Amino acid sequence: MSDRTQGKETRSALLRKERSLYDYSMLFVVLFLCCFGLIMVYSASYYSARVKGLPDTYYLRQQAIWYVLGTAAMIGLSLIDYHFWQFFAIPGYLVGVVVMGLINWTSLGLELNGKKRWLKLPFDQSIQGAEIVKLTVILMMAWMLARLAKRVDEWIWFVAVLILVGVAAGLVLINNLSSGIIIGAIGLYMLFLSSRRKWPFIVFAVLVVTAVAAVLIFSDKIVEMGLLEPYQMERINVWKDPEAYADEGGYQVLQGLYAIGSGGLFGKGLGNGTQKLGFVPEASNDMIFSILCEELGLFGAFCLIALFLFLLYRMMLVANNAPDRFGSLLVVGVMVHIGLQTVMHIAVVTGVMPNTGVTLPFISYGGTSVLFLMAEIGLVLSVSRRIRLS
Amino acid sequence: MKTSQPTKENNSRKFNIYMQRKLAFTYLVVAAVLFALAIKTVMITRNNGEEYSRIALAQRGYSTETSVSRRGTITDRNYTMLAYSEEVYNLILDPSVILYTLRESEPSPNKNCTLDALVSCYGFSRADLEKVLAEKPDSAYVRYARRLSEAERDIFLEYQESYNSAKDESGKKLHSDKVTGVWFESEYKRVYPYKTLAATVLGFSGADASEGHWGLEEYYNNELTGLDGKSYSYLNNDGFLERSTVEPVNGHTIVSTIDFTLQRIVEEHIAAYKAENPCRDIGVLLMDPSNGEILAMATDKRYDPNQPMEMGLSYTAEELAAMDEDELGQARNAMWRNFTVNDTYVPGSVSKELTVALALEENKVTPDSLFECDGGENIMGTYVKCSGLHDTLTLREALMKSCNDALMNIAGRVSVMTFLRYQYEFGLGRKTGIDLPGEAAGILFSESSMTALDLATSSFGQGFTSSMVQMAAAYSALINGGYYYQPHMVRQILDENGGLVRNITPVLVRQIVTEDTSAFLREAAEATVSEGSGYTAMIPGYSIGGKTGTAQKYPLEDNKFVISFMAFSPAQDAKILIYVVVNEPYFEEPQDLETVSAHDAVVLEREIMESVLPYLGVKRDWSQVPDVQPAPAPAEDTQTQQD
Repeated sequence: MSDRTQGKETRSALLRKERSLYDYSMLFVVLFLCCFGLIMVYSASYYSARVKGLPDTYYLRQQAIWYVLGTAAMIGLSLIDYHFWQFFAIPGYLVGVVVMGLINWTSLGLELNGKKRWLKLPFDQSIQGAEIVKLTVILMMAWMLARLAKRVDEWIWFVAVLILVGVAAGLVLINNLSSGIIIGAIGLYMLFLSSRRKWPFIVFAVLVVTAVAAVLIFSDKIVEMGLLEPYQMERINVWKDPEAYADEGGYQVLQGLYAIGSGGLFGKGLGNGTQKLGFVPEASNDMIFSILCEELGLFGAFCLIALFLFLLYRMMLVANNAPDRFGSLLVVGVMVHIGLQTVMHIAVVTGVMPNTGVTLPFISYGGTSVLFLMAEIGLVLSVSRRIRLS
Repeated sequence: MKTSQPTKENNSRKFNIYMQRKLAFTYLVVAAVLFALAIKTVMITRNNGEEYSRIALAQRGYSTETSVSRRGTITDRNYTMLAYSEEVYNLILDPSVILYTLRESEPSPNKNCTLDALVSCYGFSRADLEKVLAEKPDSAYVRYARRLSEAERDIFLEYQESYNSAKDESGKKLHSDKVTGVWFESEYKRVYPYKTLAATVLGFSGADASEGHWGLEEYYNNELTGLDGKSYSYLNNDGFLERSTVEPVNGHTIVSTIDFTLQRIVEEHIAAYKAENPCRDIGVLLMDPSNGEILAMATDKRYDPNQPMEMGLSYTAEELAAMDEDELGQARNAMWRNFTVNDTYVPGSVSKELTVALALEENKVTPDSLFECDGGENIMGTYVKCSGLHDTLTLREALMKSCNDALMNIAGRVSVMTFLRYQYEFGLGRKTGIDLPGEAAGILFSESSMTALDLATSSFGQGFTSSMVQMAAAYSALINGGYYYQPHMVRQILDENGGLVRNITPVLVRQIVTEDTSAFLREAAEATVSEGSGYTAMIPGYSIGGKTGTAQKYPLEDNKFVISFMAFSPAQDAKILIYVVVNEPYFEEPQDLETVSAHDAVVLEREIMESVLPYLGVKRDWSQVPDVQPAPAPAEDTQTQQD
């Protein structure tokens, strides 16, 4: 650039005009995903709304309200300096723990569809505890690991971090296996990134792989030993052979596969899918990717995956260039959250993983999930604003 | 804005290169996993796409219902309905609905009033209903009663409606429970309004009016059977339930050549004859010799196609009691059998006309040829007797007197080869193609097996077999100028609204003899009735041609016979041909071929002819009626009555 040879004046001018990077491309990708999500939610849910005697657009309107709230939260948070949230790391974490405690062990826990995952709020509202914990764990870990810096490799701190992650994940795990796994994975990954230790993670990885293998091979004995609930075992059986275990839930998995398989290259067209008409269960949340495949085909699925990859890539750039480690780790936490949920959702829908009930970020129906995800994106955008371009 | 100048100390607090590498690596792993998942979706689509698409499509079809098509009607030639299908209703119980309770512990609220309704409407046994409900509590379909008429169905529907909607003065519902879980399924019942009439011709159709057995019901099953309709619901692209119906196509109407009146006349005469003269079978065919249409076709076997399994009309109670299961089955088949088409017999002298016809065609004889009858002939060491001693005969007299000796002489003039060729030409030994099931072809000699003796006996109808339809069709051709028409039973096929689907026109198969030969045979046949062996068939005032037939069945020791008579009128322009065959008549005294007489068969034929001719509008020449004073005669006839 010719500016380089200019003198002091130019440089100060540059400093004065110091541009910060507000990651508009990320913002637009997220907004696009949200709009796309609305369309998909409408397409996937109008039938079940009608079956329940509700207006066709019932779920669409519900979701739209959450998107509006989410967008406001995202933009609001992006304008606030993220360092402000350092002070909320410990209180936030404690709130998360308390909320989970309330849900698990008090009458404030709301049971829906046989799962106790929601916290009752005034005015007949409810909120999913796990979503709060995801955000608070990200915040807590980012703050703590940034503070600890190199000291994280001291055993006492290393173990302390593990315990913090374990408590939060464990509380969620009780009623929500998949969210527990996601929370644990977020915490562990942030620790892994910050620590220079290798062996504990390698040992852990080996243990996980062994455990999974053991569950698959010695499944019957493990149920006998009481380590897995029979319903969880059933899900694993269903995953291994959905057709043989059609009655135990394989039917639902198969319906998802029928949806994907019948979509073809370009799909049946938006809104034209038939599998959402009472066949694919949870068509608008846990299984929405299958509806997307049916209606938009492989092409639509690839585009969506590409969008998520782009989003994650942008986050990586922000993490790499963040002004401090706290910011970087915040972004990494959000990144793990979104990345892991995307992978798990698609893996479940395509039958690669047992059915665990993971929503697809920004697309699936679910108010709390959308609100907190967008809040997290707000944090990432806030971090991106602190990156100085020079 | 906070300032964080990059310093050494701050640097260690930043996201260092080591972390960046880890993160980049992780990103690549995630990207790889997502790529793998994308590949997985491709695999699903590629490997199972077709199958899954089909399943996804098939799943949309909801509740398919079949609406049964109506079997077509069978009418006589004047469109009188001989068989039709009537809609009837089956009563279906839905125990799962009747026994429905909100909570398992409670008694079913609607059960009592529903059972009350059934008991009071139809008088069903309550205990039996309870038993059915207890046996199949989860079933949704128990066919409890069959074939209720529309009126019977409406009794229940009205009861249900009035009970369920009954209100007291204040407009409040009177009953808290409701009659439910009972519905009606429609099906068709086959009705034969004239019961036994033409049963042999019609055959019958199964319990659900779907499949024909015997007769026209079987032969024209495809025409009579319609195409069942379907209705099904499915969800359209907007998620609304839509119902699509393919209307049933009802079966075609078959218009038979049978004339209701003629058929009834024939059946009455057969029944009267059978009551007087015991025999094994009687068959009577009425045919239009000018086009091969069968006008009436009857046997002595009677059954009601409304209840085809009932045998009381053809067998006595003692006979039935004596039969075991196999015999009952055989007796039932014998009852359903159509003797005129399905059975063959030794035709006897009726076929002498065929022998004379072929000799004339081959120019081996002329109407002027003379024959000598010396009471029999020795052929290959066997003496074949004639029924009398006829001395010198003309060709005409040979037929009139039914002289076996003369016929053997005539047959001796043609080769075995020629004789067999003409038999084949005349339609013997092969099916005529009449539109009825199970036609028999009869057995002829083959060229290699036929000896001179066989040829001699065949000349007067002994030694081969034929069916009544074959003989009647061949004889029709001999007297109508030589034109062989395929005998047939159906004139038209109409659609359910009476629109013409197609006409079945008479099929002229071939000309089997010349006009001259035909004219000679007509004359000879007329002389046979007026002056010869068929004089019993004479009805004064009508010109009738005919030929008697007596034949002995094989094995000869059994002394069983077939007597028959073939007649037509008016002799020179026949409107009707009547063929009567009595199989194995019972004689009080032992008979042989010389003494047995066709008399009884001729009498039966004459009685039928006498009833039939006025109906057909054949003019009677009252001047020829000696003893009978004509009843009030039409004015235009008075002049002919002068002498």
